[in-house]
Amino acid sequence: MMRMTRAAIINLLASPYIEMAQLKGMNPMRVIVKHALPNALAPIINVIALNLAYLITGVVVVEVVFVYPGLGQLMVDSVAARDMPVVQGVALVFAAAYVFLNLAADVLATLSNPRLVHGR
Amino acid sequence: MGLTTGLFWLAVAVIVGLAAGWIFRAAVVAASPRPIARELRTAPLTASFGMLVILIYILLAVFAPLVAPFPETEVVGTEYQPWDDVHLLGTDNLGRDMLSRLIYAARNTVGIAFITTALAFTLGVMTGLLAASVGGWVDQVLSRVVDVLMAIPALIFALLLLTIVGTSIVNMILVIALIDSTRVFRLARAVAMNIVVMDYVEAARLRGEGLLRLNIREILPNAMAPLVAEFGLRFCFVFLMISALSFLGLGIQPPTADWGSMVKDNATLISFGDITPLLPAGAIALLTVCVNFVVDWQLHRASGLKE
Repeated sequence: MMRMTRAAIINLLASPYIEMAQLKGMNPMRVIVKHALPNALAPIINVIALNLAYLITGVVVVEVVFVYPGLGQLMVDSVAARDMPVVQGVALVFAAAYVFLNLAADVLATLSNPRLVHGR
Repeated sequence: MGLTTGLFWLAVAVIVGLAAGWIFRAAVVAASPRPIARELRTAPLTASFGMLVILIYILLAVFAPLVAPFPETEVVGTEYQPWDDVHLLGTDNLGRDMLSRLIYAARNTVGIAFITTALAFTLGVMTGLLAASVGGWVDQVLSRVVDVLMAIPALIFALLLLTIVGTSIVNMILVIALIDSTRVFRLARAVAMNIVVMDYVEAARLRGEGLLRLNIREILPNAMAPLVAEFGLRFCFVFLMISALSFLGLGIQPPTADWGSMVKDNATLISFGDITPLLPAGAIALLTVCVNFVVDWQLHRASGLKE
């Protein structure tokens, strides 16, 4: 995520408007936060959404190893007990998390760019 | 070994690495024709070191049968032999020569990981740009298909697909590429969405540029930086995925050497204070760092940043 943010920001730092902001005498932190970051948000939001979704579904191993009573542990226990409805329910929650986070990322990425909000 | 000795050797390694990078850069600049030489002269030392190491890996992989002192799968000694003159890095848990397997594994692991990542990027970037530039129902269909593919946890989905199509190296490459391309698709689409609404893309559309040309000439160059950064990261994830699949017995099959399973096979040696099993892991780490060095340089070049 850090590398992605870095790449997205570096890509913008050569743009003329960044140079303009620097020549105005803005301090570098403000240039990056106010001028570069809003234009770099779309890929960053998507990578964050991917990582969040991975954290929700990917903790199964961690929860089982550390016996933490979470969704992953519940799923593994239900699989061991052949409790089909619970397995299906947990799988549904995991799948819904991915779809919902993807949707949220799309909406936020659209909101971050006025040109996309006010389409022609 | 104390902390100061460790720091000393670290400093020596960094200096030797940078020096090797400098010599390599000078040699390549002298050997290549003018336009390429001008580009290469701007490469920072880290990037030239990265290119040097990647070149060495490639050479080792291509000429593995000539370089390796012993065959890949032949048992040539007793189990867990220590380092000596004949077996430079000792032998593994079945008595196969460690150095030879390390060299042969470069061929399998690096080759497969690179092909997989390249495939995933071709597929993901193409569909992602298509979805962003056409929009409408094409975008909807592609995005929903990707949602469905991503909703199934990656490793379980890979196991499922490999069970259906059968276990072979070609199938594994295709399956991992398919799963990874969904992540690339999301990123490529998000980046391209922002570019599609730019004025120059509209101008290109009004001049009557076709969809393919629009995507390749106008959108792709401007979307390159995040994609290149993602390439460096994806490469490492593919490494891990292949190791995980090999561990579960569905990836690269046992007699063939690969770095992931070599760590697993010889892991018991670690508790005896022997660093041999860490060498394949170190090889993976070194390659990862070097790929990211080169990617960083390309990133700076793509963005046109001066300092």
